[in-house]
Amino acid sequence: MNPSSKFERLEFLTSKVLDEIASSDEISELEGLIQSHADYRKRYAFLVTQESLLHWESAEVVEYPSIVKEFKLISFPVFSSVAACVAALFCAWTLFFENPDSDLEGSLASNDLVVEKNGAAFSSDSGSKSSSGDASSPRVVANQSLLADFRKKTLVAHAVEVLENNRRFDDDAVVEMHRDHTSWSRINHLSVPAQNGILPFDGNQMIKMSEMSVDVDARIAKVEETLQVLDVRKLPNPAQTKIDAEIFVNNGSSSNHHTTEFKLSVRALHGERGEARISLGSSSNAIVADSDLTSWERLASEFTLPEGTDFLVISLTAQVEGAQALLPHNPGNYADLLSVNFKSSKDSVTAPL
Amino acid sequence: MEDESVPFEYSRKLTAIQRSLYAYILSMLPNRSDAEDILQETNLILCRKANEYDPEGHFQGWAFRIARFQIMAHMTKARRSKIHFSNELVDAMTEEDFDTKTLNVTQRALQICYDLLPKHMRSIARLRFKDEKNLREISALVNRPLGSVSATLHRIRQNLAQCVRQKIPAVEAEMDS
Repeated sequence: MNPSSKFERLEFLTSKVLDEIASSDEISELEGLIQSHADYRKRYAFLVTQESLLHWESAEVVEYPSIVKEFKLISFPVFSSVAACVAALFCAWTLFFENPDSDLEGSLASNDLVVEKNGAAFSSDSGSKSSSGDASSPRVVANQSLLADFRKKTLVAHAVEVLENNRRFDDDAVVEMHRDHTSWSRINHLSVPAQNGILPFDGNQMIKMSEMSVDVDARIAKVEETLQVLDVRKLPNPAQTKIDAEIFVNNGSSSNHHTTEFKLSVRALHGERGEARISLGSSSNAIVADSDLTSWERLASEFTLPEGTDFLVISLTAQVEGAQALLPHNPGNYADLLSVNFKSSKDSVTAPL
Repeated sequence: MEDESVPFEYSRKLTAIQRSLYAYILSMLPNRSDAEDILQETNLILCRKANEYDPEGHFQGWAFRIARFQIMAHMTKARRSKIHFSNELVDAMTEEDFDTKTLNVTQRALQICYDLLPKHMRSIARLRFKDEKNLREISALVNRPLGSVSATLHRIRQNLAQCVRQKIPAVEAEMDS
């Protein structure tokens, strides 16, 4: 067999292997070919890479051909990888619920990844170490909060990547470009119609927060959603600009046993492309929601942009503390009508974002 | 200012290599379900080991070594997949073949080449790669014999591979400019 037909044979066998219809003899033959020469190994690696991209990126490749044509300078891959990681980590998070006996969990128990610079804005679950009483649950909880925290950071990293690269669309959010700032918003992606007896505060959609993760030892049930990330690098005089954020919340439970605290946070990030982001500061305001399904409570937070602010992260946290955190969760935590305004020193207002 | 146990930069690096990592795993475990399981396990270990990573070190190499151990363990522990290569193949595959930069260029070229596929190929490609149907399901959906679907998918992969190889120099030049 000449080299050319060997390459063809390799491609044919690889295709069968990837379609999971190769016989054991064909698998052995392919393996022999791959190991026989570096060129065959490279061709095989190329074909597998192409296959992985087709599956991994199929949503973009198949659904957005016109957008790809339009923005030829967009560096798709990084965006896709971040989105993929979010999905992968989310799957991993799910995996742990399905496999609580996994040997990986023991060493993940110390919640060692959940640390934050600015506790006020992104205060993390603390003290979730394995208890001697229940060997499995606390470990699962630690992993859960660990992965939830990592997922949150990954999402912000992803948003920053999207904004830095001036991408105009994203699987995870809506990107809106304005004159002097760009917004990456997940609100549409988190929106649901009326449910569980709760009507949206405004319009026919409202934000539904993800399910809370429970830290059994610390007796805290908590969920944090990154709602919006703003690119303010082009904002004139950012150091003289204030940001007002406002949202309405509803804890979704009619039970008096559930007192959910909601916290709206704004965090400023600084950092050049390729550098680690530094949190310049943050501001947050909290409110304890009532148990009336029909009422929505207003929650607002104001923040003066520190000098050097490149990105702003707006997030909403719902948290239940104490014994009630261990009770079955309420059907959901809801928010609506997020409004974010920039106020310059001359009292000009840009709103809503 | 306190240090984060999982620094933002670490998250960024981890997310940036996800597709390379997946391709590397898939090359040795050419079964998507198994490859995804190993990817998840590897991600978890990488999260756990965030504090052990030397920021001056080569992140991709470090991550790939961890993935390699997971693949070997998977192969040793259970032959869950019908398709199974030997440990020798794991030794033969190198991380350089899944370099992130090359993968980015390939991705860009693939986007261009996908658009150039004939319509009938695109509909099969969509079923296989986007909707993740297996050959039997595709065969039923398009009312064609399984062998014919398999041959079409092979041609799709061949066409794409050939086109991507041709486009790579132009894409590299575009991305470098």
